[in-house]
Amino acid sequence: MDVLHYVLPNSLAEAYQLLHEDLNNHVIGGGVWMKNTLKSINTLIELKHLIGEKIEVTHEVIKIDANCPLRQLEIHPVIKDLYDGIISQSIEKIMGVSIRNVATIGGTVVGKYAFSDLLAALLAVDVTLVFFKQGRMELSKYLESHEKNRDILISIEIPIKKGTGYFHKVSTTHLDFAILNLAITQIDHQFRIVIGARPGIASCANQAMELINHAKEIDDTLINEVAECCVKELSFGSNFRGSEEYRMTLAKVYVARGLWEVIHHAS
Amino acid sequence: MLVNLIVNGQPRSIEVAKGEFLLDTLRHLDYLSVRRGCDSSSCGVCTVLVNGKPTPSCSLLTVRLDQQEITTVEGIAKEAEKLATHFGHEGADQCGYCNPSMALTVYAMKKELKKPTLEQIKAYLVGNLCRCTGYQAQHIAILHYLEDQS
Ligand SMILES: Cc1cc2nc3c(=O)[nH]c(=O)nc-3n(C[C@H](O)[C@H](O)[C@H](O)COP(=O)(O)OP(=O)(O)OC[C@H]3O[C@@H](n4cnc5c(N)ncnc54)[C@H](O)[C@@H]3O)c2cc1C
Ligand code: FES
Ligand code: FES
Repeated sequence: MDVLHYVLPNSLAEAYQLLHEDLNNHVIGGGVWMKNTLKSINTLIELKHLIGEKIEVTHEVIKIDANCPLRQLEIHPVIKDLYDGIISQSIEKIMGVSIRNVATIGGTVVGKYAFSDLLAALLAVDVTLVFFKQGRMELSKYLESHEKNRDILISIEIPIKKGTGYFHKVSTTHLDFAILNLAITQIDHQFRIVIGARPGIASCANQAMELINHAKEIDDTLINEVAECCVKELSFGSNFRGSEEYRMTLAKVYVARGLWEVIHHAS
Repeated sequence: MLVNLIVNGQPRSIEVAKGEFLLDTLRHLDYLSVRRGCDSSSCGVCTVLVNGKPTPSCSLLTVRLDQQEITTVEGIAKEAEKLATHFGHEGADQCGYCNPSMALTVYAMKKELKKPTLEQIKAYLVGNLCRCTGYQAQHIAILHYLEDQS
């Protein structure tokens, strides 16, 4: 990789200013994704001395510094338990330990990768992002925006509530990207259903969520209707990993399975 | 740019290009046990320990590692030799290209996990590809190594 300048700014304001001086100036998280995607960089902006990699737990939230490596999240005792451990589970099957020791949550969120397993789980637990300039923003809003991000992500907040969760990655091996990933939660009696790698980016199945959240009774018929609704409202597609039809078939099966799982865990 | 690394406990100062990766720096410094496979953080053969943690040296920029502790297999020679003996007994070695990174990963795992099960061992070793041997012999050798109190 060609890097012309490597800078450790004195403040986030200075980092932000540098980032905006040239489209080829970049901040770096773990840098493993950049290594594989960028050939040359004008100014590489270091953040590790400004942002940190801590995980702080309070009564209501888990606050994670953007530079926190995935492996630290994966093995954190509180995160391992929260919502049946779906965040840890979504990380466990991303490559090997050595990549997870380096790749960061910040690089994952900002990158908006359509294949991302962690993004699916984070969307299902409704996390809040804290940016330097834009301040607080829901992850769902960030993922929906088509603008390229040029802000600095400082931290990510996971709400601590009572709830259950289900995560599933369909892939050939741990070293492959997902053919499909699903994250389902029931938090404060509200269901959230997220499907990613369709191959489009993780999205909530809002109509299906509405259907189940307003249902008077939950039985097999309703669950199948909800699963059917997910594949109707979200777009699915084909690539060399799997066809549209295969993904839709998988989605129906795993949505139904996941919903029953979170319901059983809750009772 | 001048970077001060601590490699296997020894301070090493080296002038590097800002876009140079640790794998190349270590090889320039003659740590030839550090090898290149995929060069895209997928095969594990370039693994070294940074502050005790396995990391892909092909994907870490050296300029970011000033004053950090790097361990190559030369730095854990005794443990690596012990593991190699168990690998030898199980016929888990062939060309040996993957051995240094495998030894470092197993060493880090031994420090991190208490009495890991076979499933945990397999999960920890994901991404350490061996092009010659079947993995089963390696797993048996690793289990013997973990029990070895010598
Ligand atoms: C070989 C390989 C295989 C992978 N397989 C999977 C997989 O199967 N499933 C999966 O979910 N993920 C996978 N990933 C992705 C991985 O989990 C991370 O999401 C990814 O590496 C990004 O994290 P990073 O720290 O490396 O980001 P970086 O490379 O450091 O940065 C990525 C982007 O984010 C920007 N950025 C980083 N931090 C910030 C910040 N604080 N503020 C603003 N912008 C920032 C950078 O400028 C850059 O544009 C894989 C990655 C690799 C390299
Ligand atoms: S050479 Fe670094 S992971 Fe393959
Ligand atoms: S013994 Fe040849 S790559 Fe492992």
